[in-house]
Amino acid sequence: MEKTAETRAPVRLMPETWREAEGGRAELIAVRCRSCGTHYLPHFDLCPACLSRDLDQVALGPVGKLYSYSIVHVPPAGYPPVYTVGYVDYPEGVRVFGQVKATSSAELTPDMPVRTEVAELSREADGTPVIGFRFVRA
Amino acid sequence: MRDVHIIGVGMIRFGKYPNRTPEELARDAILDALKDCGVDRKAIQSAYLGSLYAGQLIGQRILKYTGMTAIPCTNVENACSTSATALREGWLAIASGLYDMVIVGGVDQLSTAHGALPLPKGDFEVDSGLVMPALYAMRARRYMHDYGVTAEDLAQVVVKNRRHGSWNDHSQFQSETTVEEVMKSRMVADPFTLFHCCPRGDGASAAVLCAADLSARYTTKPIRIAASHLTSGLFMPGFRDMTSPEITVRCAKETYELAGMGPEDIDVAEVHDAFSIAEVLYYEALGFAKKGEGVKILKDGETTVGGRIPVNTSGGLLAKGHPVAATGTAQVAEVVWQLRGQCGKRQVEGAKIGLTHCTGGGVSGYDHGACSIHILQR
Repeated sequence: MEKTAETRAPVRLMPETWREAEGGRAELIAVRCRSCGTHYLPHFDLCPACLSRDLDQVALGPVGKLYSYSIVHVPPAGYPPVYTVGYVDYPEGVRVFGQVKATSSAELTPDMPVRTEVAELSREADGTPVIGFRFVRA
Repeated sequence: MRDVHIIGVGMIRFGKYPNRTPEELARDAILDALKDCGVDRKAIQSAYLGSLYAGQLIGQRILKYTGMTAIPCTNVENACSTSATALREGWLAIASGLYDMVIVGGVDQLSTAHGALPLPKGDFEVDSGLVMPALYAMRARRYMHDYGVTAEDLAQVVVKNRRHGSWNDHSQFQSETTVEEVMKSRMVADPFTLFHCCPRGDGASAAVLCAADLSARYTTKPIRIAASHLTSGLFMPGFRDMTSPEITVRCAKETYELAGMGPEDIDVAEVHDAFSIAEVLYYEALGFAKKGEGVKILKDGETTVGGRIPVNTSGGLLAKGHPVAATGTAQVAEVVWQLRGQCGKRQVEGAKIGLTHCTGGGVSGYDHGACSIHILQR
């Protein structure tokens, strides 16, 4: 029997950058250059700042600050008709892009604290769900 | 380095031409530019041409349609700065003494696609849902928060540029609009409605460049390239101020230094208003307004034709349209026409020095991928 979208195993977007924590939460994982201290998310296997290959993984947050956001009404293929994106700043000095849980800009304000949860972000052309981290009000 | 003059410019009216090919659109712009200066196509020694979406070897495909084959052709791609980069390559080839006469230009045909322009897959932000309108919308949201301006304030950029565009035969939009109409158009990426965004369309533009000591043969109104500059974004994986576009601030400073000029010397400017907020950010980045005062100079009419520093007299990307790779040399065409005094109702009286600025490309960690600024002088 052909699998429907509902029965297909979800694909994890950039699985090295997050892991599922208790209560549906997501823990963000950056890499830190042990030579110059720069943090990166997404990851690099060679630090572009100092060219060191000595990087290790560190957890971010869990709380960051929403730098800015936009509610998108022109979805690319596979995205919901309306979804929200934003940039979040973490104390470790890294800014992370991602989707934000919100239906109206009235729910959001620059600099508000957010945490991360696991959510479906989009669907591939064959209907396979793509899951990853999403920001929610902390 | 030798001085280089722009002696001919050409562009098609930007708009929707789904039944024509990019080769045909670019051909018409090139023939227009050659006619503008009366140069025989056989005098062109090299071509620098580009497109974002028309595919491989677009330059050679275009030259086949103009009968200008068997000359060196360099294909250029630098997102929104594509034909500005082509101009810089052409300038460099003449300035260095390699050639005396070259053609530069760009073409894109976007009317055959739908929605926001596709960004490169494999970039984490793009794969997570970033679209170009949302990137500019986040700049707008932060600017509104930091400087206490509203989406209605930003809509006034659109109203101004649509008025300028209504005076330009080459503009895609040739009708005026109002703040109310802008705000009532459909939502694209909050706080932007559709009219806060440049329209999707097709276009082509070109310019003929000539060694300065030869230009008198072809024109009595040569336009000197006082500075030609290009830079790339600075990768910043951490925090960056999205209300101060790093790449344009740096490119502007370097370009003014190259020209030995400052923002106070500029009489007219074409800047990269892909979205309403962009023009306000670029007033500040180019030194036309102090930080946080972009909306003030807009509302005071300083950037309207007749004001202190008229910006986007062509209608800009918001009215004239933004067929990506055609934008750079189309901006140059407008400034050349301004400096020659050919702009009719939108003419900036006595304009002697003009600036063109385009920047773009969505790559995570950069403000933008590329930025090119030219200062032109009569």
